[in-house]
Amino acid sequence: MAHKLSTEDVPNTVNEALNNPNWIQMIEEEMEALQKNNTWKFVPLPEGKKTMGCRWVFSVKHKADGSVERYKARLVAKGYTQTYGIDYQETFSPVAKLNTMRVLISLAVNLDWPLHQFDVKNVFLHKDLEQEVYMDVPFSLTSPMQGKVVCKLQKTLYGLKQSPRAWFGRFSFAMRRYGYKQSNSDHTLFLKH
Amino acid sequence: MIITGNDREKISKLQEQLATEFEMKNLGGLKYFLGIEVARSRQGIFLSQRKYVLDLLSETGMLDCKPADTPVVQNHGLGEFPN
Repeated sequence: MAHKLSTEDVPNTVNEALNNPNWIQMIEEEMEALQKNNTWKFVPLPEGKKTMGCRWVFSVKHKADGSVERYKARLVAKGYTQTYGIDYQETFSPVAKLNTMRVLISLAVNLDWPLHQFDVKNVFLHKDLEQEVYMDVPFSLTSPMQGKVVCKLQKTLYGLKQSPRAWFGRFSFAMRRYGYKQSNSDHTLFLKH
Repeated sequence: MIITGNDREKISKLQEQLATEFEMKNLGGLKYFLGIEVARSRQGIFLSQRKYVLDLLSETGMLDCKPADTPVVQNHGLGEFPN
């Protein structure tokens, strides 16, 4: 299995990815998701504004036994070019505490509770972007736009400094609305009696 | 995210609610979360970080390295003592 983990070729650039139909399909799927979520709209760049770069990032997800689970292509904004106070403000977002997970597992074992796991697809695209951010038009196979347009971001794209925090705010808001209480000792734990 | 509890109805309700505003993917039983592999049987739950460590070794290009109990010479001291 060590062999499988180390020899999977992961492209560094879009051009490399275009040699493999697996990656092309993933680029198309990601592009579809981005468009479906109205992640941006095409606008002429207003005077005095700058665009942020973006790039495709490719990765192979493995199952616990080392076999390939799926290919993943993700468009990310080059958030490292953002300036604090202009493009973004707060960025902190909590991560689940390992102790909390152990407590949950212990409860599940001792009280015979089920443990369900869920994932949210394209998490960050669920939150509207509050700041004004312009991005270069990304490479895509079916790029319809020509001329002097840029992408005005409407959703918190991957790579933006504010995205994790914005998503967590959006998620906590929903959980509280469903009547769940946010734990004081771990803000990523939501409880309902 | 992990969902657990003794009220199956509430669990399904939460699933439904989340699905109305987020694009949810049901991964079934808990298998891998925060680097911890979880295997469940009637006898209990087995936790391991095997995948986490292998991914880490793979990322750092150290899959072929020999394991050692400690990565440095023992009792080495911080500086050189001429005498």
